[in-house]
Amino acid sequence: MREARDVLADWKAGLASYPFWWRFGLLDIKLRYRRTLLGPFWVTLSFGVSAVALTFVYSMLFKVAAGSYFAYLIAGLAVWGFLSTLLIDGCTTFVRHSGLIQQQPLPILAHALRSVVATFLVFAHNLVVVAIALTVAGVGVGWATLLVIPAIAVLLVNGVWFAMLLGMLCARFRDLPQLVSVLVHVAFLVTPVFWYKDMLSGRARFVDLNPLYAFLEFVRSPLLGQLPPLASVQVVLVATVAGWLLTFVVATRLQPKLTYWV
Amino acid sequence: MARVILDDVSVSFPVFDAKATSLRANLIYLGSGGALGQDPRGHVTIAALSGVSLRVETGDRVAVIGRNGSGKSTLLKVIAGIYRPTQGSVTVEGRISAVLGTGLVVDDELTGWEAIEYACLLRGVRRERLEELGKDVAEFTELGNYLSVPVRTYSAGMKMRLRFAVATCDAPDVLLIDEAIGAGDIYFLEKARHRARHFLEQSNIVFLASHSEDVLQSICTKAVVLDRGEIVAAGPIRGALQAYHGLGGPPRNRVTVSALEFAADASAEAGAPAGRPFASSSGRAHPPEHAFDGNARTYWLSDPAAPVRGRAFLGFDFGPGQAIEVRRVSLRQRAHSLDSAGCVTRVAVQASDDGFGVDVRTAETMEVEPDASTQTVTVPPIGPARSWRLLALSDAVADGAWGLVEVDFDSMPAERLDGGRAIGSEPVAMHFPVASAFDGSPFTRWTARERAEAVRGVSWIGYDFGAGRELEVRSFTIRQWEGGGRPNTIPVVKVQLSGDGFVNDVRTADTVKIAQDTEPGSYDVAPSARARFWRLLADAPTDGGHWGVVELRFSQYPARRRRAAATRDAGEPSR
Repeated sequence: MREARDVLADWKAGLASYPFWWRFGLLDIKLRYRRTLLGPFWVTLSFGVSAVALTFVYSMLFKVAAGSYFAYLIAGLAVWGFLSTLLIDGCTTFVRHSGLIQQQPLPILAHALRSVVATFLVFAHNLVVVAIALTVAGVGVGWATLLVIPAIAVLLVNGVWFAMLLGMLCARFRDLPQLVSVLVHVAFLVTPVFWYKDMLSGRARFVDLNPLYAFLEFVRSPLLGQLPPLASVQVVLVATVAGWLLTFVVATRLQPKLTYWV
Repeated sequence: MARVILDDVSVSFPVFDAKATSLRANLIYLGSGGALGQDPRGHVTIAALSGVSLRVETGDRVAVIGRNGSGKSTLLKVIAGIYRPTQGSVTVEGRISAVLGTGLVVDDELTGWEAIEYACLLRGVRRERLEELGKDVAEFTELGNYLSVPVRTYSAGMKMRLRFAVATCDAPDVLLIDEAIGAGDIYFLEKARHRARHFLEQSNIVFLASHSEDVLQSICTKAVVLDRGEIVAAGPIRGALQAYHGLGGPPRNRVTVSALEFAADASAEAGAPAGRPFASSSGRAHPPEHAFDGNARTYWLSDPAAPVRGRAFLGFDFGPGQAIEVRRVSLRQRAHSLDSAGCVTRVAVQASDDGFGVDVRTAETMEVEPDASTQTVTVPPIGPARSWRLLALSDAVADGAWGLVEVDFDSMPAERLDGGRAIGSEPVAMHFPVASAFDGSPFTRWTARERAEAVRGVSWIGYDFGAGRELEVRSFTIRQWEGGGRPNTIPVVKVQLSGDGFVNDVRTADTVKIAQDTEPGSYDVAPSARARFWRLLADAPTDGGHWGVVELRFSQYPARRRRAAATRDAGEPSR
């Protein structure tokens, strides 16, 4: 099919245009530093402070040791922040760059890659703090910790298809980003980020059904020096494959229309 | 080798927040801009380009000309690959570089150096060349120390210099420049002009959309004229610019007109040398705007300030190797004076291969009404010839006659449809002497004879195409005069069809807004059904006196498609 070939050609060109998406993704972050003192580190600061505050209250509520709770919480918050930004910013990928898209011919995938690069770099800032915090909290470094890097890479790969798929849909249906934002905020409350999964006795089922939980555990566990649970790995891998396939199918229909919608 | 090919490309924008229902009644537009329409799902769409075909090879520098909203920017964007055509295909071989917007595409907070670097990166300049080109750009812009501060602090002129320098630092295979939004001043910087020319000559193919004709003439070799999303002319730059100026009518191109001359009476003409040139206002008038598309249809409009004196002819030289056989001539004459004195009443249609020197063949003679609608005569076949003319045969030409004339030579014979007749108009209380100019072809005309004819009440003008002849009218050409400066001429008509002469069967095909007191306008009718009787019903009550003088022409072919077919040939820049 001609559309399929066009999409593949665009994606291939998109990957090949790494000078563009890498440098511009980097630039997006660099610019956030301009004329500021801390730049993106404000985000890190804010989440660091909220982690400390939450630890103070919830470690008492849950009757757990402050140290291990703090480690769990800060790792979880950092990964969740990354996930939720991937989701929410992913929605507006193309709409945000509509000026550029309309003026300069570039492969569509390149915009998604740029967006993900920028999100990753912000996460990298937070990771620095997380690493420090985990060391201070005495979390052991084991073989499992090495899995952090591939785990993040897998997450990035998923972030890209998400940015593509939702980016295309949101360009057409401008309410979608709001919906996603609401869902993500609700998800934050029902996913074990600041509470432990095993605190729920019988109702733990619904946590397992939450795909975001799988992604969360996929990266949080290695950070805490543990292997991610099998169920989590399965969900993530299925999501990666299925997500890309779905994005490909949708792109064959929607990609040609994208520039008309932004 | 660079190449750009467009094949029947159409681009239609969906407009999601317009209410399709409220626009339905106004879907015929009367102005510039793309045609508003509806897609199958009822969304309002804007047809920015329709059926555009082009073929451009290495070395061509193409000007893209047209009114605002005619589709120039869209054309460039579709070539650049920013828009995928909703129909048709675009093939581009070679590296593309596009300068399409108004601003620097990079963030304002970047310093000049960074802006150069990132803008070049965006444009696909390769890593290795980045440094060398960056220096070249910095030197050209002469921004000096300003290159180290954010672009935010630059004046508009400095930003423009930067943008221009970046755009011209690396010669691509296909360069697209859209300066639709007033950056024509780029070329008036001396240095920039020099650099621009040097740079443009290095690019293999250039597309330049601009309103600045000096620029276009000095840089471009060919041009494409767009109107409402379609190509109406294409070819060498000079002809196309002429065509652009003449826009407002049917597709136009360049033609050579032989001089207006006095000519002796036709009976003495045979064998006699052609008439002598005369000294008159026509003689020193500038050559009239005219158009020739190389196939058959041509228009000539004389300068209203320069009437013809004496007996005269209007001629056309179709050029060497372009002999055509004219089979139909449509002519319209408007007298300057109200009493039509001194107008030409008879013309001969003549052909010649040597410019009417020795070879003069008369194909047909026709009676010409002064001050009336266009009249058509079918010319019997006498073989193809390079030059054709209308020779005034009457003595009755005095100062100022032949006023405004339109001539339409056509090499297609009129098709005959016998038996049709005007079925007059309503109300019958006011007597309407309806003169039918029905020539039996699907293009039929009806003219109200006298200016003073008035219509009262709701009225219609109708046609009977004859027993057994059923047409589906898809377009009509109508011209309405105000009739003495009185108000409430008909603004909207319903196009109706009937199987039984509008007794019981009355179906409305479409509702169309028509302009008054203008040149004949062609209006599309939505597809409906075939029928024997068709009429235009005035959709507003008129009050004592108006439809003035009307010409009406029905056609089975929608106006737009016909035009596209004719211009598709014109779109090949083979000349």
